[in-house]
Amino acid sequence: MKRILLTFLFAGSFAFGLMAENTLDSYNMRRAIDAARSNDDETAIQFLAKELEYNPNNAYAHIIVAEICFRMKSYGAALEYTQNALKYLPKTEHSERCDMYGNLYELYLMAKDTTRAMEYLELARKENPKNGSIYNAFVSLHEELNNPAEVLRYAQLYMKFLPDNPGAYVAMATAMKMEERYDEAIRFCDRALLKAEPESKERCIALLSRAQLLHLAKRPSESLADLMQSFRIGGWGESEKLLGKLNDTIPNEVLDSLLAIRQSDPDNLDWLYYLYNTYIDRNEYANAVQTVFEILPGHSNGYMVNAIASVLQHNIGDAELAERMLLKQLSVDSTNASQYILLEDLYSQQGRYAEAMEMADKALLFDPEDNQKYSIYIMRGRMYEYKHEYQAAVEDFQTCLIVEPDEDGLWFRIAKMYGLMNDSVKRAEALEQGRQAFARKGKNLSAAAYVVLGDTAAAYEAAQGMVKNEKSDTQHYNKACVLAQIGYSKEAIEELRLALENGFCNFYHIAWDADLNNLRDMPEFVELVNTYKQRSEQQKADLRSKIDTELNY
Amino acid sequence: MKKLFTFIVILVSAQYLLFAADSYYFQRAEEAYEKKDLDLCLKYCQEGVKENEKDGKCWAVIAEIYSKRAYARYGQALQAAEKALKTLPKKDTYWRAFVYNIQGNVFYKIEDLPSAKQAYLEAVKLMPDNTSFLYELADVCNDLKHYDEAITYYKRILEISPRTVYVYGTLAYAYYRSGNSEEAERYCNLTDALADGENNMVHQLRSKMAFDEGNLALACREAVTAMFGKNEWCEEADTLIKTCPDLLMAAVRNEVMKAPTSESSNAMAAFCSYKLNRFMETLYYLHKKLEQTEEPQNVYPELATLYEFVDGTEDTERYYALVLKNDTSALAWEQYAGSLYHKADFAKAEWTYRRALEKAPTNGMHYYWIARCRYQQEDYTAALQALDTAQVLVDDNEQLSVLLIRAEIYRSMEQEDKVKPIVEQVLRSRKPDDHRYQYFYADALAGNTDALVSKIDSVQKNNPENLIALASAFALMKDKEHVLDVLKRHYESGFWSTIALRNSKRYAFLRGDADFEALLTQVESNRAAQLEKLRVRLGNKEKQQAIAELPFTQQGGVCRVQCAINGLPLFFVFDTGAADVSISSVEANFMLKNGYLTNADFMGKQNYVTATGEIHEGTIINLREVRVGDVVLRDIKASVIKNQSAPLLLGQTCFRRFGTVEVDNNAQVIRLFMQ
Repeated sequence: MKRILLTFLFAGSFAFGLMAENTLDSYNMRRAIDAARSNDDETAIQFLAKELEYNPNNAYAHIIVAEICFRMKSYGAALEYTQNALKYLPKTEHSERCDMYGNLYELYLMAKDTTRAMEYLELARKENPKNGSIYNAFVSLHEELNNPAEVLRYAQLYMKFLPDNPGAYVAMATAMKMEERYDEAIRFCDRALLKAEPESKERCIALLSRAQLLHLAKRPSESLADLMQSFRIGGWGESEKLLGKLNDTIPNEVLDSLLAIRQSDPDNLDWLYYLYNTYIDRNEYANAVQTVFEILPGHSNGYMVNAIASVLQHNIGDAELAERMLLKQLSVDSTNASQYILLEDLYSQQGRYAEAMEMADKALLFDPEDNQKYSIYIMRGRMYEYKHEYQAAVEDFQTCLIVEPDEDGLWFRIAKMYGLMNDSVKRAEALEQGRQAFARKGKNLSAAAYVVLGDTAAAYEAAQGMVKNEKSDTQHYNKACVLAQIGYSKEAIEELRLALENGFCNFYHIAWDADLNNLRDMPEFVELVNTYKQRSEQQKADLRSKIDTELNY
Repeated sequence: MKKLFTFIVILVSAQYLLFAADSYYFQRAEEAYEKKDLDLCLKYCQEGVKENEKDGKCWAVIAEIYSKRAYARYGQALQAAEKALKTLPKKDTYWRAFVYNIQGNVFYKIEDLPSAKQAYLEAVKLMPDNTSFLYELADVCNDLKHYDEAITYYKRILEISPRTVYVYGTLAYAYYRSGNSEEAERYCNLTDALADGENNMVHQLRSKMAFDEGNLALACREAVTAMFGKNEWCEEADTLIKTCPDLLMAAVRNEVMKAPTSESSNAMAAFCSYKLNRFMETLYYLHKKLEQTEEPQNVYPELATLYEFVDGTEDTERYYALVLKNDTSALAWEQYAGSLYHKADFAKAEWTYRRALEKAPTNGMHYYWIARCRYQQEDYTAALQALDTAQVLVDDNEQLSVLLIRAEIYRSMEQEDKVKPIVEQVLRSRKPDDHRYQYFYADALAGNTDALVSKIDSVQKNNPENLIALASAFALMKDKEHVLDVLKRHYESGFWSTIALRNSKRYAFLRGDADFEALLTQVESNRAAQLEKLRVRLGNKEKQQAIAELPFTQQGGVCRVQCAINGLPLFFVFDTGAADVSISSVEANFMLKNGYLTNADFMGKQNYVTATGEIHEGTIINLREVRVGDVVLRDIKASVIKNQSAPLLLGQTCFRRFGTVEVDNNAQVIRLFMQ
């Protein structure tokens, strides 16, 4: 549902014939509205409070307070003022009452209480059946609840009340999609496109919907064409997932389309992230780096710098350039946890533990997100593990568990640490917790868990399912680690070869990773690593010759 | 005029119009109640019912006052309520409901829950929209495990007053208790969405639910979030502390990182780590709390006690010195004396206990401790004398300690005939559910080895802080094997102190024993390493956090530092007293002309009070980028002073982005520490 404040604040006049106390014309209301229009919520609230002191039944004051509370994410207060507004709004004020019920719908939807949300949506509809956005909300809600019949019913109602609205046709398309009637759904999108203004948001939505349908109808090239058109009008929005799927089916066309967009609209950098990701998906790391380097002089983009630094370190093996980039980025913005985390990783891989620890401490200072905290602690824990400071490692892994309580594999890592500390009681407890964590989710234990449990056969069996994407270097690498630990050395070397073949280039990590210790004395391992190391050196040299590292780094 | 006033009064009191006018005594009682003088209020009401036995309101107020915990005359409260209900008119629903509610409260307090429920039901029947009555009724239904009814009443409250957010949480609990986890989760979500940040109850419930599911990490995280949110320990943590103390500590570490410079956050972390027997971490968080607090005198006693726990004798002395500088109460002397006793400085400890006695001459426990000091110095006669006084002064709870130390002294004096009756007396008085550690000594003096051995596991699990008493009890029996076993458990539980063991008479028989020495030496070596780690952590922390160093020069008594504003290097006067960053109109014009400032950077005007008290008008601008050393700050508010010779000041709008600012005059640098 669209927020109502704007309508309310900018409407020139109001339907009158209301009760005397429902006014927008008092001094306090005018001052409040002026303040709210200029986003000065504090002043607005002051005047609204005064208004409500003198005129507690002024529904409009309650409406605006509710709206400001929404804006300030003070939802309890928003609920109260919305209820008050409904109490004081005359029954004849259908439009405003509809909006207020819309507020309640949103509040309960936010609280994941779909039953209540639905009830309020129904009340909103009762107040103003011609409000199309209500039907759209019904469609979305039932789509989420997976009720195809209801989606169809509301889409039809939507169309009945607003036959010229392209959104109604998209809603019909949604209903058809849920019944897997893709051709009909596509036809509804066609009609939505006929109704939509050129370059409008509605057109963009219709194109995106049709692109999704065309993909489902196994017409990927047409889907891609719609997706690109939708992107040209309104940016990527929610199309990222679809692009990923198309990339799996028609990778060359996706790449060509992105390059065409880059060519036609070089100033709009929205393509950058997608082009970069496409190269990464294709394991074309040098191209990914080159693409980003080309735009970096003009655009300081911390996110891309971090991404590239990671690729340089892990997939091209140029840790030196990665470090330079990250340090340079730190001089631009020294308050971003991400750079410190990447440096922690980089230093820890190179055995520069003191520096890595310092980076971990700094990263923690800059209010990292939960997933970042997880990375910081897991890396630090592994450093402690490597330094045989097992108690400290346990503490960091436990903190990881607090950050990500469902990360079941961690229990086995903790169990491993207790094993190394010869604390059999705590080891057993951790293993039991790990088993229970997997059981809670109805999952089988992971291969790494079986390794810790010493169940070689089960570990081997579980390892067979570890590679879900043949092109993923890390999945092959992780499988190699499991196989190496349970003594399947030849197979481990083969997996390691696949990891290297698919772009794994972090030779520091290979040299450091205790999981591969069983392979280190094998001539095949030494030869394999050396071969790819040479290739990495060549790759590094090629990349350096293509990009102007001196320009920025 | 007078008539008009009376008329208005009658109109205003419309709800009482139907009934007899309030009596004089009731009116006086009402005045006294408003002034919170309950005794006077009670007196007037008693006068009121003496004059007119049918004054229902006076009876109601008497019932209300007697029902309060401060009076706790519940029988009289119920009698008064009965009389009130008999005399109040049937139509006076307000007062009758009020009286039923009082009845309900009294029944609740005397734990007659069915009667409480009945009374609350009557109140609700009379005033169905009164949310307080509904809440009482719902709560009592909850306690009676009548969850469906409780849920109905809670929901009714929400219908009347949807913003009473805590009711969503209470409902979630009611659903949880009734076994409906799905609805419980639904109401947890509602509380999350509507509570505007006040949802500690939901965190507690989620902790319970996660624990039931076996997800200990989530249970710990939620419990700790709740504790930090409401700044107090919660019952869920009591379970978790026994099940997964390490994870709980990890959750505390994680939580404190969300506000590492908050005093309350560090205080809570210190409290939690103390409960978890992580004394080194407690010390760390106490130091962090000390850095933040404006009332360090409140932290000194905590630090002193904690250093005592880890045998950090110098620090203990140091912090007790600071404590006694601010506080010379009996308690402060007593605590200091305790620390002296702990480190076996018995003579000084006795002297200090006597200082405490000067402040609190009737505190028998001070005599008890003086007796123990004398006992340790083998001056048994003086010890027994002090115990005689102690025995007269201490309360019943403390008699146990006094009696047992007397028995122990007699044992040392080899007067077994005097030991036996005392021990028998103590053991006779023991109730089955009394698990006080003092009884360990009684068992030890009675030679009940098996009784003591049977307690080892449960004490370790439930009260590890009592392991040391158990070890001492075995020591009294000179049972080396069990002493060592229990001591090992004691140290495994997180305790560090060895001083007392090295000096106590009870452990004298083990002095020189290789196993005992090996154990203590091991603990001492680990402790030294941990204390060193703590010192490094505390000492280096600031260095680690210093994220920028600004060289400065002294000119005319002020510090000048170089910063870059939107890329333009400028020298500023470092002035922590200035409210914001200010630049003169000369620099502002230069910046504007040369593209360092744009029109969009100008924000408005602001009046300024200078150090001399003058008011100047300044233009407010937004500095998009201020580079201070290696740190880049964005969007700093600054003022342009309409004075061409105004100095450039680097003030609070810039510095408050940092946690601490340190001026090192020797190195001529200003160090900036992150928040």
